[in-house]
Formats: sequence, structure tokens, C-alpha cells
Amino acid sequence: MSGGYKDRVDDLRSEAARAPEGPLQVDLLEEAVRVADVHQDLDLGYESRIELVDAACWAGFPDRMLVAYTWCLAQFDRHPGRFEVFQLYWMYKWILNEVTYFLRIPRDRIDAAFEDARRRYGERGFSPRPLHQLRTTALSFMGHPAEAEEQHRKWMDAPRDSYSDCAACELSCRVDYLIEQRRDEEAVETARPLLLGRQRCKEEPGRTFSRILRPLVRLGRAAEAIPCYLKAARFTGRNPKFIWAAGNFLSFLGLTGNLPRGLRLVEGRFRIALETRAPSNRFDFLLGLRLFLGILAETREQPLKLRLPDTFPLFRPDASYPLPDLLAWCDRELSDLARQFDARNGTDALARRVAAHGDLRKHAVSLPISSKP
Amino acid sequence: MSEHRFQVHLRGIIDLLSNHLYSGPQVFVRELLQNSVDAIRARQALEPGRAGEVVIEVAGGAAPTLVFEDDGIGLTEAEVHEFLATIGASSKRDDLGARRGDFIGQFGIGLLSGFLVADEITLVTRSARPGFPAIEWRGRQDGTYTVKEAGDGLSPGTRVYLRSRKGAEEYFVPSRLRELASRYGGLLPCPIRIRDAGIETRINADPPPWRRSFVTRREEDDAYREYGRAVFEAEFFDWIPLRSDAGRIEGAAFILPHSATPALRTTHRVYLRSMLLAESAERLLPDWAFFVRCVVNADDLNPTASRESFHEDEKLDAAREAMGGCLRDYLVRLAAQDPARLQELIALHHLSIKALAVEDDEFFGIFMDWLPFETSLGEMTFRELRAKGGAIRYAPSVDQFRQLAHVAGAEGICVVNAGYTFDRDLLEKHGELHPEASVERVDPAEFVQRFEDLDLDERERAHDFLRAAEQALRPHDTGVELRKFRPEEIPALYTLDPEAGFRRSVDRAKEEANPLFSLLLDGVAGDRPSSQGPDTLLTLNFRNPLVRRVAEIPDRDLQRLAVEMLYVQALLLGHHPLRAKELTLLNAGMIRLLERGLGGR
Repeated sequence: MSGGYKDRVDDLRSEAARAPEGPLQVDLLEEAVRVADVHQDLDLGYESRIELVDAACWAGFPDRMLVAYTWCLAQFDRHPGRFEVFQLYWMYKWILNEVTYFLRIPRDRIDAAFEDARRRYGERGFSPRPLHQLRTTALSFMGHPAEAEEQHRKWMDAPRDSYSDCAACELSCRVDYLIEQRRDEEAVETARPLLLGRQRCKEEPGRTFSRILRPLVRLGRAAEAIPCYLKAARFTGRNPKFIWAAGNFLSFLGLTGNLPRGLRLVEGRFRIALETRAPSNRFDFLLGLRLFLGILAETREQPLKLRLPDTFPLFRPDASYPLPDLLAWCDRELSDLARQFDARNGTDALARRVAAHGDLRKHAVSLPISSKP
Repeated sequence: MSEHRFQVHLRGIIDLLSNHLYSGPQVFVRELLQNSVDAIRARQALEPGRAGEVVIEVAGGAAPTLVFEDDGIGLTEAEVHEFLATIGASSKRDDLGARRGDFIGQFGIGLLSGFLVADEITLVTRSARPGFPAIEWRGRQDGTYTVKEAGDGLSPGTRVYLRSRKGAEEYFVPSRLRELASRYGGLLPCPIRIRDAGIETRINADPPPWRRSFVTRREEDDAYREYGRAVFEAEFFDWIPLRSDAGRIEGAAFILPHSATPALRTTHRVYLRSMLLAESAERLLPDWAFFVRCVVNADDLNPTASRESFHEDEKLDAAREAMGGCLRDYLVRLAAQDPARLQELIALHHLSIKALAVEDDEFFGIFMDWLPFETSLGEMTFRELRAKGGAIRYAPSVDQFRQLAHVAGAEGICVVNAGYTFDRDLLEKHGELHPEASVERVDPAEFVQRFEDLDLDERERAHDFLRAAEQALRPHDTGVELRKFRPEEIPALYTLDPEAGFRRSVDRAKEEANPLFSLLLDGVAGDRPSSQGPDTLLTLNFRNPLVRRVAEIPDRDLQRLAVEMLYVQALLLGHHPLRAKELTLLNAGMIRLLERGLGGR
């Protein structure tokens, strides 16, 4: 029988390799892990989990990623020399990138995770550069600008090595940092090599195209943002990992008056946004949805026909939704999330973000997108 | 004769070309062929009906020399100076790309690519327009060049002499040159010959099959298959002609003889205006079309600056759609004309067909019936599935399918495993397109509800047992039901929903985790919605003799032990890895049973 289960694990893994990135791929690899575990096959369990970490990361399931990673790291420590270090320690960055965005991981545990990574990288002589980079983003998100700036300086000072992010990702991360600080002109300027397609990788330039919309609108350069939007929309697709980007698109489509296009996006992404296990991604989506619906409500009083999933708490079988109800729901969800995050972070960063996002409305400008999607 | 210096640092340009623009030195063959072909086309515009030809000659010696000769339009002295100025103005990669747009700019960039393999280039050219003398330009890698008149004896056209650089000799060997010239120029319409020791051989004698006409269908089929074999070194399942007005594309797609997957992108050979652009181009076709490899020539798409792939633009998008349409039409025709052959194709490439069917309603309508699905009753096509009548039920993940497949099969219930790529999308699409058809998602907990209930007498008899069993499994957050199902050899079925499955995997990870990660996992699990009541269920099978026997054990303690063993056994039968407390339960239970058996009671 021993060959039997190995074949089954192999089949599931190759079926997963064949699947597009997404929940199905994660399901298949979790099944492979279960089969390996039932037969207590440490190596197959480890290999399958490494693939699972990868799949879960790219499909936007940070929770399932963390579970698989935890197990791998424990086995890695328990069996020195048995498993390859590069992959696992590279993936540690993905964990650090996510821990900040779970509501119920307290600040001291986040710090402890960064400290653990710093120790592990230090022991092996790897540069802490990517850790400072991740920390910059995390602290900036949490609303600790002074600490973030200190990390940013350390990031720039630390040497690059093979554990560093690729040039495109680092650049995008800097752009993000600048946008958070409202240094819009600088952000757009810094993003140029990405926007011109000179720097690219798996996530870039799609991520930057999605992020640059807001600063461009604030700078009164919304027209330049249209091609960015069109490219970004194609890049991010329906992947739950990028549901935050749909929030940016909704803000943009609302502000530029592309309402039918925005509604189509709402219908297409709503289920993903409801189901995502990453609360900060949901927050970003809701931020855009709130702004978009608010703009819509200015010109429309009748209820809106929308195809929304039946798991939506306000789901109506007749598909007809009064806008005030939807707005109230968004507000409630947003303030819930902001309150919980802010309590954890010890700041009011997210509450302020909600308020600032509403202010974007003063930059509204009608720019119909004419070419077909 | 005048001595000049390039206005820009020539080395810089050469560095740009070799290190940043091109994939390797061999592209100089393509660049020089391109120049010759452009020149011939330009002359044809002046003198319609002219054939034109290119001859490449290898001359041996201490420093071997290559000669590229064409009878094209040629250059005047003014034009020679113009191309030098053009290049002088191009210091960046993007500029170079832009300069390729016009004949003179392209000529200069192409010519300089000779420095990838040569340390000296000599150009002897005479314009076909009357009244211009022949010009000789000689350039060296150190950045100097000379220009002089070369007399009236020459006929119009251009000759380029490359003197081998040290270390680049391999490109000056006739066999290598023949290989490169036929790779890049195999599709070019004008004759290209290699002259070696006085003997000329033509390297592009056979046009590709789409440019030939055939008397019989058989002859055509042979030609395409032979072509596919020659290009990709494979025997293909079949071939499909490709044509697109957007981009002015012609070519052929070859259907892979083995199953392909979307994750591993298939690559294609692409030509631009008959010159090879890339041998392994990706994203030429729509995403679903990963079952073919193509050879295509585009007369009207834009290359990237390096000329090694097409520029992503709307024209390419439209061309992609059109070529996808060709593949789609082929499949539709096959479905109508040769269902047996279609079935062979589906056996190999159902994944591609499923991918298209998800996107394309009409295609879905034609193909859905042919597509295979895994079910609790074995593999069957959708047509067979529909023929069973009633609702189409599917389990949305491999995990849930595994939990119920065995029992569903024994009960004669057909449940589709929708845990594989595209299957769930297809089934749901069937439901959307055919509202009268009932397509139901079943999860294991729901499925259990279909099982037969105990009759009233049996309920009475089993009541106390059920209460005891519930109590026994409460510490394991597992509810208990007593039902009747097949196969009767299975005493109990353990089912859980994905949320509970996640909690099981968190528990198992925590058993291994270091303290830090254990705390992180607590944080993650804390974000989950809280469940109402147990969402894992042990359904005991009252048809099973062991369960009936356990139900009648008067000794409550022993009965509890037996229920715990049934629980662990159900976990094992369902291929659920055990958590530590379940392993403990198993070990302790075995010991206690042994002790009882050995008379310890």
C-alpha cells in the first residue's frame, strides 16, 4: 500500500500544479497534506506543505498559509539539515507580511515574530534588509510614522542579498510608503520605472498600477490614471489576494463617474470580499465600496438592482437594495474593522483613513472610459 | 577619403546591443538578413517584379570573414552619413526601438549588430538610383570609421564584410551559419543562399505549408505534419490553420500529442514579416489554448525593442482573439464531423476544452456533454451524468468528496467530485444556463441527512445508547447521529465542514509549533466566526452489526470505550490525520480493551 498513498499525493500535487492560482489549488494541496500525514510521511508532508504555503499566499489565504508554515518551521527546527533553508526563510517574509493584518494578533506578538526572523536571518548571516522593508510597511499601516521612518532608514542602509525582494517589489514598497505619507508627487515619480514597464515581476507592475490611482487623483491627474486602471484591472483579476485593489478601482471609478463599470465590479468581487480571511483586505475593499456607493447615492434615490451573494447579511432575493441600507452596512463594517485594528495598534490610524477616504470626493472629475473592457 | 569618429561612444552602443538588447551574439545573422530583405523590398517598390536574392559567403583565413550580399536598393553616401547620425542620437534602449521604425535607422542598428561577432565591419554599397557612386564604409570597434568612394564598377546592392573577433570564430563556420540563417530566414520569400567553397545552397527553398497550394487533402495533411515535425521535433495529434486579419497573421497550430497544463505555458515560434522573432514566444494565444504549439507569421504586429517578442497592444489582443477563434472553430467542426476523433482529443486535452467552456457559453453548449467528470459511481461524461436524471450533485472540494464518495457510491447516489480545475465552474454554469436543471452542491453534513432514519421501535431501543455516545464525544466537539446507510460494513461516518477542517489543521500545527507560532495561530483562529454547536458529526450506521452490538452493551463504561474506538476508527477510515488527543484515545482504549480481554475486569 505504501506506493499507493505516494501516488495519491503526487496526483494531488500535479493536479494542483495544473490548477490556476486560487482556492481550488489550496484545497488540493491540503488534501495532499492530509494523505501524507495519515501515513506519517514527514518528507512528503513537508514538500506538500511548502507548495501549500506558496499556493495559499498567492490565492489570498493567509490563515491557511500560516498553519502550513508553522508546521514546516517546527519540523525544520526539529530536524536540522533535513530541509532546505532558502525556501522556508524566504517564505518567512510572507508570514511577516501578513501577521500585521490579522486583527487578533497583538502588537507584542507581531514584534516577537519580527525579532524571531531577525535572529534567524542573523544566525545565518543574511541581510536584514527585507525585514526592515516589511516592518516599514507594517508600522506605517499601524500608524507609527516615526518608527516606520526609522525602519525605512535601516532598510535603505542594509545591503541587498539573495533574500532581498526583487528590485520591482522594493520599489513598489517604497511607492506604497510614500502614498501612505501623502507624498503623492514623489510616489508617482518613484513609480515611473514600474509604470513604464521597465521593472516587472510576478506582482509588478499590476500592484503599483492599482495603488497609483489615488495619488494621481489627488494630484488632479486622473486622466493619466485611466490607462493605469485598465492595465491594473487586467492584472489583478479575481484573485482574493488582490481584493484590496478592487477597493482602489471602485474609488477611482466612482470619482471619475464610471458608475455602471463600477457596479459590475461590485457584483464580480462582492463574494470574494465577504469571504476573504484577511480583514485588512476587506477593509480596503469596503473603503472603496463606501466611497463609490456614496457618490452613486448623490444622484440616485431608488433602490439598486444588484446581484449579490446569498451569504451577504442584507441579501434580498428580489436583488433590489436601497442605497441607504448598503451605505449604513458599509459604515458599520468599516468602523468595526477600524476600531478593532486601532485598538490593537494603539493608534487611530484606520479611523483617520476612513475619514480621509471620504475627503477624496472633492477630487471627483467626470472621465468616462470609452474603450470596451 | 575621410577619417571620422562616431559622435557617440561606439563601445557604449555595442555594449547596449549585446548586453541589454539581444539575447546573444547569434542575432547578428537575423539583423543583417533583415537589412538585406528590407533593401530588396525597397528596390522592388521601384522596380516591380524584381526577385532579389541574398548570398552569404564564408571566407576562411587567419581571421575568418563573412560576406552578406544583396541586390537591394543600396545606400548613397548621404544615407550612410544619415544612419551614422541616427545611431549617434540613440543612447537608450527605448530610442533604439523607435529608430527601427524607419529604413535607415533600422539599417544602422542592424549593421552595428555585426560588432557582436566582428572587430571590423566593411560596408560596400551602391544605390540603385541612377547617378550615385559606390561607397565603402569601414568601421572598427574602437569607434573610428572611414568613408570613401569605391568606383563605378559595382552593380547596385550592398555587401557587408565581417572580420571575426577573437572568440567569435564559431559564428564563422559554414554549418553554424547555415543553421542560423535557416532558423531566422527560413520563411523569407526571396532566395537566401550560402556559398561555401564555391558551392551555393539555398536555405529557404520550401515555403511553409500555409503559403503552398495542394491538390489533395492528404498532400496538405502530410505537408503540415512534416512541417510540425521539422519545427518542434514532435509527432502531433493534428494541426489547425491559423489566420487573423488583425496583425495580418498566417500560420498553423499543432495539437500536442500529450496532455498539457495551464501552469506550464506552451511556447510558439513566431515570425514578423517572415523573419524569425522568437522560438519560444508565450501568450500568443488566449489563456485556455494551452493544448497547441504554433508557428505563425505576422505582417502587422509590433515587435519589442529587442525584436524578440511582440509588443503587448490592442492589435495583439485582437489577433489573439482571432486565433483563438480558429482553434474554437476547429473543435466545433470536429464535434460535428468526427465525434470519435473528438473523444480522442478530449481524452488528451479536456482541460483546455473545459477552460474555454467556462468562458464561452456557446462552446459550453456544444462540448459540455462530452466532458469527463469523476463521480462517486466512477468516471463519466456529462451526457451520462445527465442521463441519470434528477439533480446533479457535486462536492465542492476533493476533501468533501472523499468524505462521502464511498458511502454515496454504495447508496447508488451519484456525486461529482468538483474539486478539480474548472469542474465546479462548469457545473454551476450548467445550472445558470439551464434554470430548469437542478445542480446542487452537497456538503457531507447535508449528505448525511439523506440517510434512512431508524424506525420507531429501533429509536426506542437505541435511545439510551445515543445519549451515551453523545456524552462520550462531547469532549471532542463532535455530535452523534444514528442512521442507516450503505455499505453496512462501515460502522460510522465522520463528517466535518471546511471550518471544522481548518480547526483540525490548526490543532495539528499547534501540536508541533514553537511557542511563538503557537501564539500566532491563536490570533488567526480568533479571527474566525464562532460556530453554533458542533460542526463535526459522527454518524453511526445502524445497519452495521458492530454498531448494533455496541448499542446493546449494558456496561456503560465499556460502551463509552467502544464509542470512542468507533470515533477514532471513523477518523482513520475517512483519512483524517489524528490529533494528539485522538492518538492518546486510541492507545489508551486499546490498552483498556486488552486488559478487559485478559481478564483484568
